[in-house]
This record gives sequence, C-alpha cells and structure tokens, in this order.
Amino acid sequence: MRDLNVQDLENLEVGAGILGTGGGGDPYIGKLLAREQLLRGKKITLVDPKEVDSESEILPVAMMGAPVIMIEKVPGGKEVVKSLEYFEKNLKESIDFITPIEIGGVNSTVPLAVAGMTGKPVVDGDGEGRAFPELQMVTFHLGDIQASPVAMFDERGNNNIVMATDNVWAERIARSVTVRFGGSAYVALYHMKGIDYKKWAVLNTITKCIDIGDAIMDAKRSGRNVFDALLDETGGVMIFSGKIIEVKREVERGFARGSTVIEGSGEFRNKHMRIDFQNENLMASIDGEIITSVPDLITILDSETSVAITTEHLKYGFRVNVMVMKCDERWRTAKGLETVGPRYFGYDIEYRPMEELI
Amino acid sequence: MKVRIGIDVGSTNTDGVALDENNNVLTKEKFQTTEDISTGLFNTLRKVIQNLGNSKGYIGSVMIGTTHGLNAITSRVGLTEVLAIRIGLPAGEGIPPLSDWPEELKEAIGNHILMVRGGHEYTGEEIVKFDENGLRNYLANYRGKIKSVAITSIFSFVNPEHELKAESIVKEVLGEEVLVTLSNKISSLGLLERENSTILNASIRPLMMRIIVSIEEILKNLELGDVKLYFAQNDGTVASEDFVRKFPIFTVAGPISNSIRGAFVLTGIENAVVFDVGGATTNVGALTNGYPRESSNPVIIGGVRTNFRMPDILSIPLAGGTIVRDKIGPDTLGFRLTKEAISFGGDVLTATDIALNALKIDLPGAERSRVLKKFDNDFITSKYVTMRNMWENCLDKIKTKAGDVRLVTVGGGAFMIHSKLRGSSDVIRPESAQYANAIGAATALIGARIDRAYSYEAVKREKAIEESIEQAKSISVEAGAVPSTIEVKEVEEVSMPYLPGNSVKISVKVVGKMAQ
Amino acid sequence: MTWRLRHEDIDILTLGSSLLGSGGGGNPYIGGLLLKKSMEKLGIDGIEVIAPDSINDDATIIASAGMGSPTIGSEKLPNGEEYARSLSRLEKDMEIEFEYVTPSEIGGANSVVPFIAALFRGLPVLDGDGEGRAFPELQMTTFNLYGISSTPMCLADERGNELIINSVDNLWAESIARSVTARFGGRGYVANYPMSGKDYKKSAVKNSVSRARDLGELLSRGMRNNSVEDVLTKEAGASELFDGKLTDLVRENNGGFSIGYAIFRSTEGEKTSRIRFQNEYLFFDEKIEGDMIEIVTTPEIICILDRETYMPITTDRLRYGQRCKVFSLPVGEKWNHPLADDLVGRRVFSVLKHFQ
Repeated sequence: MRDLNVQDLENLEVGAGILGTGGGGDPYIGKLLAREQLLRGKKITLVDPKEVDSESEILPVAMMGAPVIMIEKVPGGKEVVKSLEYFEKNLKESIDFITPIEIGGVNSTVPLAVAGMTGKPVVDGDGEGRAFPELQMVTFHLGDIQASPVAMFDERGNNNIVMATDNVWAERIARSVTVRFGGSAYVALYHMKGIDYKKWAVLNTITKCIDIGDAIMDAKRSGRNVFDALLDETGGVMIFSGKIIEVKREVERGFARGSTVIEGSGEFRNKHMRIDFQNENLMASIDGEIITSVPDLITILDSETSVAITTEHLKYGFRVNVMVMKCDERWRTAKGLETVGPRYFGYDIEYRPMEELI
Repeated sequence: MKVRIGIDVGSTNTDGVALDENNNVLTKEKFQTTEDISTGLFNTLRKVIQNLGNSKGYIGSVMIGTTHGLNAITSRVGLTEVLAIRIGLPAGEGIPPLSDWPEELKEAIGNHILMVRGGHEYTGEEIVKFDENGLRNYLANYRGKIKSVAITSIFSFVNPEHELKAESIVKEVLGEEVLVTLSNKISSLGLLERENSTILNASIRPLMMRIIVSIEEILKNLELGDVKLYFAQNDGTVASEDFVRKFPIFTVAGPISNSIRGAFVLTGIENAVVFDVGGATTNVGALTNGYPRESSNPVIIGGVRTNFRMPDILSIPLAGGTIVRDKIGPDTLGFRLTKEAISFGGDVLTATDIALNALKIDLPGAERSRVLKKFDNDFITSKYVTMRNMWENCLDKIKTKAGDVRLVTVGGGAFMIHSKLRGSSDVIRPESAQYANAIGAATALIGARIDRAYSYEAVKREKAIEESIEQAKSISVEAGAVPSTIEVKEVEEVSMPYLPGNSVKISVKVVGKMAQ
Repeated sequence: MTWRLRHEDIDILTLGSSLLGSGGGGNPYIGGLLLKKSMEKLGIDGIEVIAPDSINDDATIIASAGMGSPTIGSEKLPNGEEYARSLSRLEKDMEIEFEYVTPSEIGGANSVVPFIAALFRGLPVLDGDGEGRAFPELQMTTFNLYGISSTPMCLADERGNELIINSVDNLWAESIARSVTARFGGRGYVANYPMSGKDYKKSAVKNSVSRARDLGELLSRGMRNNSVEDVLTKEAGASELFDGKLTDLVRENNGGFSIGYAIFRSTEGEKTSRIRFQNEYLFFDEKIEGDMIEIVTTPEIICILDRETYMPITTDRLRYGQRCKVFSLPVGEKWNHPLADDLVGRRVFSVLKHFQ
C-alpha cells in the first residue's frame, strides 16, 4: 500500500496513453482531475491485490462514451461518486476498494480522482490490461462476473440502474443511455468480491503504467533513445515508421470508427501501413497483408517524443512509430477471442499472436 | 373462339361449365363428388368436353375452385397433424401458438406446439440467438410422427433467416419429405394472424396436393395435358397449380368469391346478400355493385383469425350434408350424402332430410318419407326452425345497414331456403343456381402481385410506388387482364432497416377482369 | 363504486378503450387475449376495480403500461410477466410495496395491461388513469400536469433486461426510456409514476376504466342494432368527421414510435382528408381548396371505425384500401388546465416535424 504523488500521476498519464492503443480517451483530463485532489491535500492510496481480502467489496468505476465527445465535454468527477453511493445504499455496506475497469486512456485516472474525493483506496489492476470500446470487453466477463447492476449518472442529475440479462445487453442498454445523455456517462459496474478480482483482473497494471512513464522520463533525462527504452520496458516490437498520409473517420452508434494510412520511411520506405480503429487501434496491415490485430496492443507514437497518439488526434503529416505489445494471455483463450478477437470487430481473419507474426 | 372451363369441386357435387369469351354458358354438367375426388371430376370434365364437341380444341384454360380445404378446416376432418413451431422466445410466451383456436380444431391438428428462442427485431437484428440445438432436441420427439410443419418467426418478413435455418433443421431431423410452410411466404405484419394462416396452410397441404395430382392425371387422360390449370384464390383471382401445392391456404375461400360473382352473372343483381349453400357449409357474402364486398378486418376461417384479403364472408357448418343429432353439425356426410342420408336410403339424419320434409320438396333419387319412419313431424319442424335461425343470424351479421336486403341463394343446397329469411326482402334462386361457383371460377379475375426493394435515398417514395403499380399492371395485362378494369388492391411497404440506404420492400397487388 | 373485471368483460373493455385510445395504446386484441390467457393460467377470474375516492391518502400506487411502437407490438408479443416484473423491480429498488395498480392511459392494450400486472401480483386496479385517452409519450399525463414525478420508474424487456430511471424531470425520463425502448427492439414494459393516494385523487382522470367499459357496451349495442352512428353521436357525444377509403399510408418506426399519416378519399372521390399519427391519431385535416386544413387537434380523441363492421381500427391495423368512418370524441375535462397546451398541444409532437 502506498500513496501516489503528482509525479506518479504524470508517469501514469504517459503509460496509460501507450496502453490505451489509441483509445480510451485522453488520460490528460483524468490526470488533471486526480492531481486537483492531491493539490487539495487529499490522499490517493494504491493497494496491491495481495493486500486485498477475499471478502472485500470491490467496485470498478469509469467513464463511458466516445472519446471525441469527452475531449469537448470535460467531466466534473462528482457524478462517479454518486454511483458509488448508490451501490453502498443498495448493498447496505460500504465499498472497500475502487479500481479501474481499463488501464488505457482516461479510465486509468478517473478512479484515482474518485479515490481522492472519497478516500477509498484503489486496487492496483484493471479488467483489460489495455483499452477496449465496449463494456463486456473485460477479463471479468471471461470469468462470468456480471456487469449488472450498472449505475449510470450524467452531469444533469439523471441516473439509471441497468439490470441486464448478460453483459452484452448491459453494454447495449448503457450505450443507448450514454448516447441519450449526450455522448458520455459515468458508470460503476462489475461489483465483485476480492477473491474474484484476484482471480480475473489483470493485476498491477497501474504500477506497470507508472513504470512505463518513468522509463520514458528516465530515458529523456539521461539522453537515451526514448523509443528503445519504451520497447525494453514493455517487451513491445516496432512494426512500422513513417508519415501519416490519410485519416478517415466517422462516428457510428456512439463509436469513432475509421482508418489511417502511414507512408513508410527508413527501412519501411515504399511500404504503406493501414491501421483500422474503432475508438482503439484494431488491426495493422502493410500493403494489404495483415501484420497484427486485436487483442494484441497496437500503439501509434510520435516519433520524436514517443508520446502515444490517440485516434481522435491522428492528423495528416504526423511522423510516427508503430509498436505492438502482447496482450494478457486470457484474451487469447476461445472466449477471450470471441469477445475481443478480430471477428468480433467485423474482420474475417484468424487471430495470430504477435510473437508468431513478427 | 376461346373456351374456358370452370369446375367447382364441392363436397357433394362436382359442377362444370364451359363459357365462351362473352361469358355465355356453352354447356353445364354435374356429377357426384366421389371419395377419391378424381372420379367425380373426371365424369364432369369428360361430359363437359363431350358436350363441346368440335369446340374442344378451343379450350384455353381450366379453372378449378374447391372448398375442400375450407371444409376440412370448418368440419375438422381430413386435416393433417401439424407441428407449429414458433421462434421468438422469450417474447410471446404469454400467448402461445393456437391460443385463440376452437378446441376441436386444435385437437384435429394434434395440438403440437413448439416454442424456441430466436426471432428478429424490426431492424433485422436478432432478438436473442436462435436456439438451434433446442429445436433439434425437441424435434427428435416428433420423428416419424409429423408430416407437415408450420414455422413462424418474429419479424420473419423483415429477416427470414431463422425460419430458413429452422426449415433445414426440420428436414434434417424429420426427413426431407416433410412439408414445411414458412410464415414469411404467407403474409406480413401481425404475428398471431400470420402464424394462424401458416398453421392452417400446413394442415391442408397434403389434402390439396392429392387433389392437384388427381386433376392433372385426369387432364392427361382427356388429352388436355397442355391446357393451363388454374385455381381460384380467396381474393377472386387465379393461381397456377405449382403455387397452390405450396400455398393452398390462398385458395380455401376461392369458391366463395366465385359463388358471389357467379350469383351476379346469373341474376344481374348488383347489391344483395348471397347464400352459397353447399354440402358442408353455408357461405354468406355480400354483393356490392356487382363485386364481392371485401373485408378489411381480420378474416376468421373456421374460428381462426387470419389476415388475408378476401371477401367478407361468414361460414357456418350448416348445409346439405350436415349431420343432425341433438345439435346440428358441425360434421358433414359430404359426397356420401346421396348414399348415407336417410332420404337416399342410408341411416344418417342430415339437414337435407330435415329440409325436404319440412318444406315438402321432392328431389330426384330421394325418398323423403323414409325419414318420417324414424322421426316425427314436430321433431323435423323444430330442427328446421333451428336451422333457419342459424341462417337468419348469419344474415343479420353480414348486413351493414338496418332494413331488409335482397337475398340470392346459390349452390346445391339452395333449395333448403325456400322463403325469405328474417331480414331479407325477397329470395332469388336463379336457374342454374347450382352452377354459380363453376361460372364464377370460369370468370375469375386476373391478378398480379410484385414485391420490389427500393432505396428511398435513390428513388423517391412516390416514384417507387408508381413504378411498382405500373409494373404490376403490365404483368396483369400480359396475363390477360383488360387494362381499363385493373384496380390496385394493395400497397404495402415494409422497411428493411438492416439494409443500407433507407431500404423498403414495396408489395403491390392489382386485379382486373379477364380479357374477352 | 367497486366492481370486478371478469374474463367475459375483457372484450367489452378493450372495445371501449379502442375508442378512447385515439387509435393507440397498443393492439387491443393482443392485450385482451394476453389478459385472458393469464387469467386461465393462474386460474383467477376477476380482478377488483376500485373507485379512487375510496382509497387512503397514504396508499401506494404505481402505473403500468407498455411503451413503444404498436406496429411492433402486434408482431413481437409479450411473454406476459414483463409488466409485473417491472413493477416488482421498482418495489425492490424503492424498498416499498405498491397496493394499487393504475392504468397510465386508457387506450387499446394499455387499459388492460395494468390488470395483467395486478393479476400476477394479486393487487387491485384503480378506476382511473393519467390521460383519459392514449398519448404517445410518458410525460403526456395529467399526473405530470399536477406535478407528479414519473420516476423512479422501471423499464423492462421480454428478455429479462431491466432499467431503473431517476431523472431530473418527466421529459428526461421519456427521452431515456424511449431510446432504450428502441434499443430493446421497439417495445418496453413500464412501471412508473409511483405516488400516494392523495396525489392520485388530485391528478388522475377518474372512472375512466368504467367509461371505457360503458363505451364498449354502447358500441357493441350499436353494432347489434346497426345504429352505431346514432349511439356514438347521441349517447357518447361523438361527431362524424369523414366517410371514405384509405388511399395512401405512410408509416415508419422512428425512434421508438410508429409515425406517419393516412390519406382518405370519400366514396365519390370529392373529398380528401388526412390523419397524422404518432402511435395515436393526433390530427385530422381536410383538404379545402388544395390545402390541408387542420380540423381536429389534440387532446380531442379521433377514432377510425371500419365502415362495415364498426370495429375500431388502431394505428397498427391501418391498411391500404380500408373503408372507414372517422369520428371525434370529447376528452375529459381534466385537460382543461393552463399548462395542458405545453404538454399535449400541437407543437410538441414530432410527427408534425416529419409530415408538415
């Protein structure tokens, strides 16, 4: 158990961007919310899963919606606290810990802000080890943990409780409410016991994020190649380098879908990489040949600073590196691939682990 | 010269007429309907053709009208047991298939119900996943026991996928020879009515297939194998035999249309109520300006709600062959009337026996006094009063205005109503009343139906509908309709939100008189 | 006065409520059949109908209804227990027990739906509702007019999904519920407007279940004696608006509603009229010198009857070629309220934006 400081938040922001694989919203906004709590003298306590009792009550909290809308409609933060209060009222006992539902993007930092506001400690882990666009795309789902009840709040004071028959329906209902709320909502869901969390969560991912950020900062300070440091820290592989020459996007049913084309340079000269995304980067191909796909992590980084670029910020002319990282092993099981494999996103291809492809 | 032959296969008699292009009756014949149907039909057809003599070569088409399907449904006899499968759980559990059906009819088709998870939303996406394995497992219990299956899936007219899958599972488990009727081929919106019609279709398919096979055989034997064979449909138009094999439900009420139109051809009366008294049922319809009045409400067939377009008719199981016990009907002797009814030397008391004695009418071949040996006059009178009451109630229900209406009686049992009923100003029984159905069949309308998919983003709605109507009209003209008589009967739009570009299916139906 | 709704009364009640429903409130045949089947299944014949004035001020009351497009309702049938499940879920969330169920509207299926919920829960039904007719949206009630909140409410589907809604106002509740209903596939099952006996007595249209039953009997008598026009105009205060054939029908499922219009032409072809609907018939227009002029507008009730059988035709049953008579019926005086126009006046209906 330790209390996070402002530098941890800065590092976390960098790491969350990289694990966000282009989606999950800008972690910057969540960092500002969390930092504000620290500046007010509140504590944000991080707890190792080993220190969590099997019987303790754990509640993941998150923001839901299209990242494009989130960068405009900046969250207040109090709404998530209300959803936590709802659970406590209904359970008639208190929630012991909160935790991120996903480590990539804004949802890595939102629970930290809530921790600051409520004094509840945050368990070091999440339900994805990355970011994914839908509610059922979490390792908890693979462990048959129910998303429902899902408490949803908007900034106006509207709130809903979703009791769905399964996690896919929880996603569908919550999604249409989110659209109605104007594109973003604050949710608490997958309420569970410590024993389930320890079995199904991707553990220690907050620390992993902070470490990634730290490694990059360290490399910058010491003048090492930042990108190499990043690959060393994450075990990732560089798969492309070049200049963005095309970005296509559309907002479809509350998701940002699209693709980008990168013209290769250096060893990739005369080649083109295409990356398809739906909030997150889903699939990378070079000249029509598929290189890698979800659930492995595809991240586009600024070639100078190695800061991850989210899909909504992709622009013509950016010089970028593309890297791929290994996903959590559970995503490679049959149910894992059924939930987040390329077929789920509409690509009729077989998933192959990045280690085999590269 | 062009000659059309109209045949009405009633439950008691098989009537035939031949008409020239001006609807003049060239010849008319009747023979008893036989158990195998074909002998009676053969006799009638052969005689009609014989009478035509040298004109035989001018025969262009044979049009058949038969109430066999309807009779089977109303008297609950001759039906095939049906397995009614509904794909839609958890929706609709509160109102299972066959919910609002008469008990005897449910029993007659075996009361086999199967509900499984599945079905679609109006958007074409699944309500829940189709429970294929569940269906496969349930079906195993019916192996070897079921010959005809009706499959209805929620919103199948938008997305038929689950019905199609279910069909292949049914064939896989129950065998290729099993007859399958899919609801998306029968009608559109309104689950209960569509499902009912699908089940009824499945219950009469084997019966109607047998009839078609025997008719084709006869035409071949009479060297008329090349003549076009049509069946009269519920809406007054004709359909080809290959269509009727699959969808006999569209022809069950064909003769009713025929009899109403035939009554007009025979009497020239434009506005009246028409009673068609046959062997098994009395069918009551209305003539409005020379056409059968169409129903805009759900049509009830044998006590079951359907959603067909057909003449507004009431059908009661009271006619010549109706068996009289403590209660009257609903079962009938049918073609066995002239053997087994008491007046004809048998020992079953029928409505004909009652009417002959109550009205003191003598029919050739009948000896009504035989009835009096077993039943006294009071009994006969009281039964006839009950029968009249049933008809009068029927007349009252079909009327749309207070005041008396003219009544035209046709059909083989028309003699049973000899004086005006309460609510009628007079009763007209035209000469050849017996042949009204056959004449109606020979003067059936030509119809055409088209279904076309449009994207309203590409083509404007008005233009798309206009185009569809024009196309339907030209098809009907090609089929022999007189352009000036063509009427648009139905325009229906079904939106297909799962297809891109605001896609809509437009169904248009037109009908017109046959060219002379 | 307290009375019992028995199996044999159901057809009469749905007949009358099809008149009051202005063409909406869901398919009355299906609603009635579902109630009958449910009674048979549970072996209970008869549900108590209680006069509102006889209940205590602190009684707990809940409204029950189906929502969404009636066109979809006639295809995707309920499984029967959704209404009661929605009610029970809300009780659990609110930690109270409801003592009475009330219709939120009188129209089509929605006047019998509360009886289905009540039947499964063994509760009585109140003789009143929140509209005195049917309207397409949840906030269009006299309950709302008199300041009652529609939330907490529960919205369920046939699969077993449930949604509890707490909203800042009744319009937000409608808007959230509507989009989820669309996601559910166009039909949802609602328990809303939890309130006290005191609030109910203040805000409800009273005796409307009895009115529907009486109208049903009246219409049925008219059918028997071929005097429907007479009984409707002389005894029910109706006016005859039009007599003709449906010659064009535009209807789409749009955002959880069935919206569109029907064009009618008189038998001689001289007159043309139009009815615009959004689940319910809302506006009756007549073509005068080339322009469509609005003759009848909300909250006045519009009924379309089959011109031969006089059966009311609900919006989901409209079909090309139908021959119809159109009538208007007066709505209850509860809508004589300064704020009524903001709630159910002509400018609030989205059908008017689609079809000018």
